[in-house]
Amino acid sequence: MIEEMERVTATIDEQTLAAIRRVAGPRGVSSFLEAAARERLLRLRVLGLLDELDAKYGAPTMATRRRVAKQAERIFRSRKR
Amino acid sequence: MKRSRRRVTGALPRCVLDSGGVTALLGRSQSARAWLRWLANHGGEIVVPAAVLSECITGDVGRDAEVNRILGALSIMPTGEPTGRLAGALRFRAKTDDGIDAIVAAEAAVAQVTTVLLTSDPKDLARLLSSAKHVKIQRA
Repeated sequence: MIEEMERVTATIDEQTLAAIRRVAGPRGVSSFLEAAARERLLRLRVLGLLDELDAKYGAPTMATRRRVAKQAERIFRSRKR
Repeated sequence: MKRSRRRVTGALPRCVLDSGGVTALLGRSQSARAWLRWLANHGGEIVVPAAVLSECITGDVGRDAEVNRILGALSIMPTGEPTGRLAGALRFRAKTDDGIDAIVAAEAAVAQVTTVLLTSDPKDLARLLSSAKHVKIQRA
């Protein structure tokens, strides 16, 4: 399937744009931004679904959230910032 | 207000759900929803192998409505040849005959990054994944 592309104008601060160009290359900016937008949309979709499910079935308790966060941080070796 | 946030280092978190992990989201398991929220908030990838649909879809539009709503928000991953081959090897080594579990295990193991596998059946998947130390099995 060929997706239709549309040209848009976006405003991005210089530092961010330079960082994108560094990792994506001068010709890769559009694909980088498209991938970032797709990831963000997917994340919002998951969070929206979880809000709906929590409203219907009851949100996880604070104790459950803390336990899961602790396990996840141990597994994925996170650190505080 | 200064908020303390935690950042995950290295590769982004990755999570694979089996059919128990998917259905656990429908009310029974607060833990499954807490896991998914943590992953979404940390830029994690949440994957449902397409083979899992064979265990959680009935083909009846009414019955499937809620599961479809969940699947619609997650990434359904088709199984390619390398994953299929790995599934076969894991199944043979574990001496099991559950092909779907083997595909789920292979999908979790095939990416060489730390991956959480959310399941309602940790024991069988642990047998399949005994050699994949980067996959952490969690009860949904």
